[in-house]
Amino acid sequence: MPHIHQVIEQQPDVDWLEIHSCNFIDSPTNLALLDNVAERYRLSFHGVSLNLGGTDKINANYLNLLRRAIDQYQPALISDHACFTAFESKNYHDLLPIPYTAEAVNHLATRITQVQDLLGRQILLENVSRYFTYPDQELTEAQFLNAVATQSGCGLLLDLNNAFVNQVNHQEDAKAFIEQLSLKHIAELHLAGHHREKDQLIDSHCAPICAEVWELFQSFIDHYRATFDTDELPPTLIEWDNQLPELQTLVDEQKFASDLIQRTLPQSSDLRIKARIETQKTAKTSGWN
Amino acid sequence: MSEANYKQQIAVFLEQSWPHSTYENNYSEGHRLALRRTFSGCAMLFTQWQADDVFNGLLRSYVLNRPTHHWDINCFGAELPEFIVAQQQSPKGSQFPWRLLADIAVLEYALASCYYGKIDVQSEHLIDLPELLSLNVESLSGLMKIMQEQHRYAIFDSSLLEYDKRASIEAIANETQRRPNQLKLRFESTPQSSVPRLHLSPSTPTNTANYQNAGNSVDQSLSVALHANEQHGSTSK
Repeated sequence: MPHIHQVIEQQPDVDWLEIHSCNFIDSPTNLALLDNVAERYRLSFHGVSLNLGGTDKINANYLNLLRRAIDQYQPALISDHACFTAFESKNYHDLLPIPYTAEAVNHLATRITQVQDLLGRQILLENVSRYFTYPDQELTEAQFLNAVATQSGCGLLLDLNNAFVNQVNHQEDAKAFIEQLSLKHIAELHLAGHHREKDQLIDSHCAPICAEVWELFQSFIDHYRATFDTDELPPTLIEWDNQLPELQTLVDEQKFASDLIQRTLPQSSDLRIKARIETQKTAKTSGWN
Repeated sequence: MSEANYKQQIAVFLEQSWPHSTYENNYSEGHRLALRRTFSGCAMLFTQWQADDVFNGLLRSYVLNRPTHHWDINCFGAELPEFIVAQQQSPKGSQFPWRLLADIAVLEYALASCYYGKIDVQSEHLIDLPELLSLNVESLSGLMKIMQEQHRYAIFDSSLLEYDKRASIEAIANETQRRPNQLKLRFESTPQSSVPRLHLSPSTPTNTANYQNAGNSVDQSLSVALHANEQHGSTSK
């Protein structure tokens, strides 16, 4: 939101933009701003309030507002998260973890189907950062997401920063997680930054994308190309919500991701990413953080 | 495993693992920051009073005691004005102008509610602000400047202040001429932009009881903050 007026005035050279739909769907002012943005850019709607993993009834007020905005703006993508955000009417406004069990697959798939039926559209389900692991889980996260996508017909939004945060916080293998995901379901990628608190990484979207996540991105590109023999990758978004840098920094990050996909950088993959790390160090001393 | 087991699993997580976890810290800090964004004018005054710790403590206490029930975090804080008024009974009861701060909080929550579509102001919406509108013209002018910096999508009608000047001149001739104790909010498109802005203007006077400028001590404490604001500049979201 802080850059929206600048986006309208300067019209930066990016193909599409993603909005945090919860901040728009009921706000007359933000929707008027979105009118201006939608004249120039394709849109993606990304939300946090469907409470897909929750057990309360799906919030009809939220869903109707979302449907109204979707009908009006016809976004190319619509997404939410594999988590719960409210329980017994208390709203946590956070992406809280769900157990990876067969029952949870059925629960989530049923609710996603309900949402998709009402919206008349497919939605994407994003993997989340986790700070807790349920005991006695029956499935890995990748198996869980694959099963939900197959059962409900939803797509997947792969957040590579979340995969890396989980790797560090839970000693998981992010690369193995990505390789276990069924690529045919993946319809969007997120790249983001995090910060460290004590012995954990926190998915705060407040920093540049770290080198390890760029490496995961390169690894995903190679894996995707090898599987489908194509240069057309799912659309990739830079997420940066807190301690926002200048708009141009975000555009540069997007351009770097695009260059990696298009193979337009002259150096080898390792050198490209190392060069990126050096750029980040320079930028940090200039006051990013 | 049944559906009841799934529900039980997440209930057990919330009861046993959520407290004192990263999630609880996220909840506390995320909601405190959301309140600071919604009530940024109040936050600015405490900053100018060099009392950020007092306001942050108050917000943390509010977050702890008032669970959220709406999906939109921008709606959080509906009861903060009364929570602020209750601070009059606290050990800091005499240190801050709590009733005035509650009025500012009422105004800021109304602005957020209009902005995020929770109040329909296609026609107009009236809010009672007896303490705020009883400030003298200098304090009110300074406060409106802070509010304008913090809420740039809103237009604070200058007639608010003109009314005060006119009222003070005419007061001798006509003692019933008073400022209103309500503000009127409505959305208004401007020639410069198709994006509607929230317009705040005085309402028709409805209550003359509160305009004896009884808040001298409030004016004094506010003038300290406004003076500090001029010295340090200001920030905005």
